[in-house]
Amino acid sequence: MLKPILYYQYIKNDLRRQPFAKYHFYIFCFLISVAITAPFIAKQPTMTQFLPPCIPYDAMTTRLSDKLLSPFDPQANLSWYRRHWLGTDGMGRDIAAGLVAGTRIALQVGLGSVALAAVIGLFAGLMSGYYGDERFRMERRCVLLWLLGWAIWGFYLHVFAQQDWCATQFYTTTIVFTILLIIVLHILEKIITSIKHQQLVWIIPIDYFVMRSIDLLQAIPFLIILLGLMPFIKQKSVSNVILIIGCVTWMPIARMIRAQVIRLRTRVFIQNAEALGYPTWRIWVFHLIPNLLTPLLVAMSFGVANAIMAEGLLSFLGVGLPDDLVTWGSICQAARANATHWWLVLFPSGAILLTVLIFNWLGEHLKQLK
Amino acid sequence: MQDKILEVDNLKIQFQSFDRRTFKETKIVAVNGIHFTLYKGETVGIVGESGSGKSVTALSLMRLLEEPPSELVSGSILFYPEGGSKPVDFAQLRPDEDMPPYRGKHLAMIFQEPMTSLNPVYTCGAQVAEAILIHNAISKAAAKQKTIELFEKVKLPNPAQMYDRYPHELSGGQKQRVMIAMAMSCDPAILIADEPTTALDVTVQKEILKLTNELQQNFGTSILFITHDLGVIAEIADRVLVMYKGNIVESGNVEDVFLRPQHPYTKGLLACRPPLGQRLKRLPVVSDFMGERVNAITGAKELYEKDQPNIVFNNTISDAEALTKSSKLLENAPMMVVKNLNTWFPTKKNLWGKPIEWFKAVNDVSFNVYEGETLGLVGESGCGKTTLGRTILRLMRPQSGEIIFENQHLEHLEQDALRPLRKKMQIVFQDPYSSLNPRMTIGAAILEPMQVHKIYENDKIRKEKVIELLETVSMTAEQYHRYPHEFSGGQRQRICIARALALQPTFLVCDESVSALDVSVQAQVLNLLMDLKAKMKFTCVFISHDLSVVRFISDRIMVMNKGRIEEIGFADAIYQNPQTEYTQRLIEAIPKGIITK
Repeated sequence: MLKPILYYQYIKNDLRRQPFAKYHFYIFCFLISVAITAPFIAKQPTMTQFLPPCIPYDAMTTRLSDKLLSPFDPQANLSWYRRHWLGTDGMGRDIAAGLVAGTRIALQVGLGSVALAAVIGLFAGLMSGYYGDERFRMERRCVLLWLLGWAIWGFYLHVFAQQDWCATQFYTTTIVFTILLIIVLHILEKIITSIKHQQLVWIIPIDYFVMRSIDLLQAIPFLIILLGLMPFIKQKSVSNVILIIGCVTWMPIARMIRAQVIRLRTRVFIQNAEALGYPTWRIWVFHLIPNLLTPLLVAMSFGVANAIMAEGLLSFLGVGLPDDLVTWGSICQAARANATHWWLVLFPSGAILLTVLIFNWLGEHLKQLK
Repeated sequence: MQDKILEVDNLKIQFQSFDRRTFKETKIVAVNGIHFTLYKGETVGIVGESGSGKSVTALSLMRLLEEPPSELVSGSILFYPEGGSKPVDFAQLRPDEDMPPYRGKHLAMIFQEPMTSLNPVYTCGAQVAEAILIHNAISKAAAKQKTIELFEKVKLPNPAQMYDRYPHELSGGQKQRVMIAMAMSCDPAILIADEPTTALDVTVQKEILKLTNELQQNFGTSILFITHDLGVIAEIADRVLVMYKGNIVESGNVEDVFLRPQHPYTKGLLACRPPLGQRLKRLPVVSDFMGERVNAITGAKELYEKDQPNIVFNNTISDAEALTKSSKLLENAPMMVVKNLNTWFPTKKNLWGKPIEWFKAVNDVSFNVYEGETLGLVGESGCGKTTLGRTILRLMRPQSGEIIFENQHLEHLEQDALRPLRKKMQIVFQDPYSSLNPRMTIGAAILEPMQVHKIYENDKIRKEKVIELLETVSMTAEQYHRYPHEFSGGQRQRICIARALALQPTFLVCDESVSALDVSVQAQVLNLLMDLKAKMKFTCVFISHDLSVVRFISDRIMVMNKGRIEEIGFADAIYQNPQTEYTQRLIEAIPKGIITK
């Protein structure tokens, strides 16, 4: 019997037809491997090294005797191995080591925030596209139950979590609490609806609510939301930056998903799935989402590029990430004080350019898929 | 001998194709060395199934095929301009640089889909005038005058007003008239019509065919008419070319070809249309007449004619037989009762979102469906037949009225309450190309409903049942793991039928299930439906715009018009003795030509 072909094999076969896709994919793999092996490429003070690292400096240690060395300076007192090939910044930190450390943070922020944005965008887009304005019908008692549930959630946020709403424990407790709340509400809903009683059915225009909130969020410039949210963070960390960038970039993804879902809903196989009596979750998971993967991947790859730029901008402005972390943006920032030192701008911005371009090109290749 | 106007010699066109499974580039021959000649003032019909290369031929005459993926391998397309000057070989010209002066002026084309062939941002008149201005050196006012004259000739109502109308304000038939006016605007020597009436209703089709005939007599244009419908060819064409897999297998005068077909394919094609005059037990299919075998000497595939099949004989059901069979069905209990059903769509809403105007797609409809019968539902596009089919399955919410299925009211049930009932009632949709999830193998697609409704104990038994079902619809177990795009339209429709029957429904709605298929495939699917119905004993509502198909398959027929039921009765009675004027018009408009006897 014939073996089934999996979706990823189709993607692979299609990508193989595009001449440059291979090289772009290799560069992408190179960036990922640099991010993963960053502690082995550049020296790390806290880790024991088994092999001599390629770059004998770590990104954060300052060495004031070596400050602001250009790549073309003789650097006579340094051996060939210990030479600063890409120069140093105003505090004598090695730029090459900084670039390697920055790759890891850039990709963490880029991929992490886009994953978050994709989850929010997928859910919002599916809700508004699938249900539209007229198809979400709920009994009045259930609507009231859910409203009550979300009021409890808001109360929880207000009372129990006032102290520091970015601490790690807070994330975990909130996520667990939210999931528990949703499960409990679902069980309650099942119990309530099992009681037969003539009830008013409300039609909730989900599409309207989702789309108008997207309009509202998109009407405020991206950077202003970002900068406006930053002061609320008491403790600067990478995960907070991921959270915030993710929460302000999901809107375009949601819009795109909504448009795709509306297009798919006119296709007969979705109507057929309803006619066959499939539950809604099944239609979403097995019929809608597999067909949304390609456009979602395209949107995500462009999103990664935007998130990396946003992170670079935030670091350049000196907000968001912890001050002692070296990122591409913070290296660029050093050039503001020392305007003549071109290597402080050229190398990190080159890295940003390369990464953004690669992700855009990968998105272009995915767009060509059928 | 008449004057030649177009001579096609040994034309061969191939397409590059990429197989995603084997990851290989292949070349597909779409047109394989055809010859034909078009004389001045005659109408030549090209008939064939989808994939036979008829549209490719038409497009290649105007060199409108995109290159690549297509490639004109060899052959010549000689065009003889008026006045007896030297012929031009279109095959030697560059399509983008040299062809435009000929397109529109000497050769004009009408396309299948009138809905999309006009540009929605320009008025109809402006688009026709543009075509005139490009090819003739006249003033804008003169072009406008000429456009209005043309609109008069194609019998558009109020030609002067029509000039300023936008395409969305016109009906499908009117748009096709504008397209014809545009094609005739420069008085072309050859008019190529690529399935111009396929997307239209029969009554509109009849008018368009009449118009085309008249225009040809007035202008003396040669017409190359491409269609899959033999009835249309019989009505309009002088000569006919039958195409099969890129070859012209038969050509000749319409009478010769249709009354005395030589090639087995033509014989099969003529036989497999549901006949209008009589009722058959089973439709003949092309494979009854023709087979394919490998030549022992050359190793090439060749067609051969099968012995005269006996299905041609002893295959009719007499009227009396049919009547007793149908009236027996009425003694059964009604399986579904529909009372005063209304399905309306809001067309205008007030400030608070409350609808104030409605489009009444289904308007006060009442009927019964008896157990074991096949109820045919016919009507033109927009008459509400699809809406009705979906409403009785509660895929749509009715405005008011009652739907009683097996003594259970459906009209107020929510989706959750309907889910267990879906096991009993199923639907097969029209479009086989979008009714299967492209990311799911067909085996999984047929397996899924069984898993959802938990019939049979485990997946192993279910898988066996899927393979059994695949074999019932004449597919093979080997195809279990294939994806929908690897199948043809007819195969996909068979898969859809298998999926609908996976739940062993008692009630099946076929919503235009065979309309998108070729005649020969349509015959296979109709036979399959008849066989399955005899085997699995389900009740069926068969929706179609094609009266001959409905008459073949149904016991009773219901005719719908503008959301209302015009008439309901036994299939033969409706056909032989239509009561209402609308039904009479519908039956009259079926293209017959000389092939009906």
